[in-house]
Amino acid sequence: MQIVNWTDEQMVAAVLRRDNLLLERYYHDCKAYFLHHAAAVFVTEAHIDDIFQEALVHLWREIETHRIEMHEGRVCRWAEGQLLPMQSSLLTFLMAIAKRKHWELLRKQQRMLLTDNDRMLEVLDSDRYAEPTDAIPERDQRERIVADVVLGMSPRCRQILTLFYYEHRTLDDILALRPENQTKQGLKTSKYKCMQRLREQIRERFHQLHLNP
Amino acid sequence: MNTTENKEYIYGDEERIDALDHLIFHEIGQQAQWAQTMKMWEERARQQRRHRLLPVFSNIASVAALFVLGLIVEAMVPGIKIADSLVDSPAAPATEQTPVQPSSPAAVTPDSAVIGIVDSTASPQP
Repeated sequence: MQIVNWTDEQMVAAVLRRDNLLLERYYHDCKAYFLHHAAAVFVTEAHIDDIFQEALVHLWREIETHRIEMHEGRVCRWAEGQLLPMQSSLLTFLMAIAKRKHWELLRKQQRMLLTDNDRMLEVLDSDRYAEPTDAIPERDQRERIVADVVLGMSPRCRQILTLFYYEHRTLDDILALRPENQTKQGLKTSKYKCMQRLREQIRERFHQLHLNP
Repeated sequence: MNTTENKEYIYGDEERIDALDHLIFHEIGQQAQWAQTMKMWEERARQQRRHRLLPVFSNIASVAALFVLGLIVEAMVPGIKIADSLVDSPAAPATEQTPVQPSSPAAVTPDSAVIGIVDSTASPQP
């Protein structure tokens, strides 16, 4: 099974101009492909829908923050400090992101050891600490680092922070939605720790690249 | 930018935020927007599937309701056969038909106008 009628170039362009009509069709085509191959990639079928959406958000944010971009007619990605043509299709890249998210989930749930032999997963991490400070404007670098760290936060923190800071829900509302947190004070502590972890990780990355905090 | 400056209170919480927090909130918002959009697409696709299936289920339900109605009428009116005609089954062999004497008063009843009435004088269907 293949996604026909779509090229990576079209996808990058559609994301950049937020062409929702096109992206909706792409989303469904992509999901059909994803579900078709999910049995071969994932150990369990739990959370597959969530993993797919998270992986696609990850990919589209990489495009929006220009970590993936068109260069001389080719789809390229910043890796190891350079903008290099991608060695795989965006679909393969998406599957690799999904696979990593799935393993991270399993590792958290079952305390499995993450044995990472996948070249794509190495590629995903390759540019983490090797951004060129002169090739990219500092503002873009900062935005990219923040995007990367926020994309990597746990589903639990994502839910709490999104509900509080994006949906402007009260702590009481969130408490009702999340039975895992038993007390308001506990929820408040979780929210604080999630934010603090993000801040620390971002500041550390800024520091490595000599960016202003 | 000095992160100890530009702090402000937000959302009625005592937490203080700075420029870095603004970047974080912006990113959380961007990702949440994509996630919401995708959920909306999922819901729309689900509704479209439902709308496509609805006429099929509606037709099945109509036929089933007619069938049940036929059975009820059959149970209430002796000698009437409605359910069989609804499923359009081939004509039953003549040997299975209830033998009714042509001279019998039962062959000429007010019910004979109703579809499916057993009438031994009627010729078997091809």
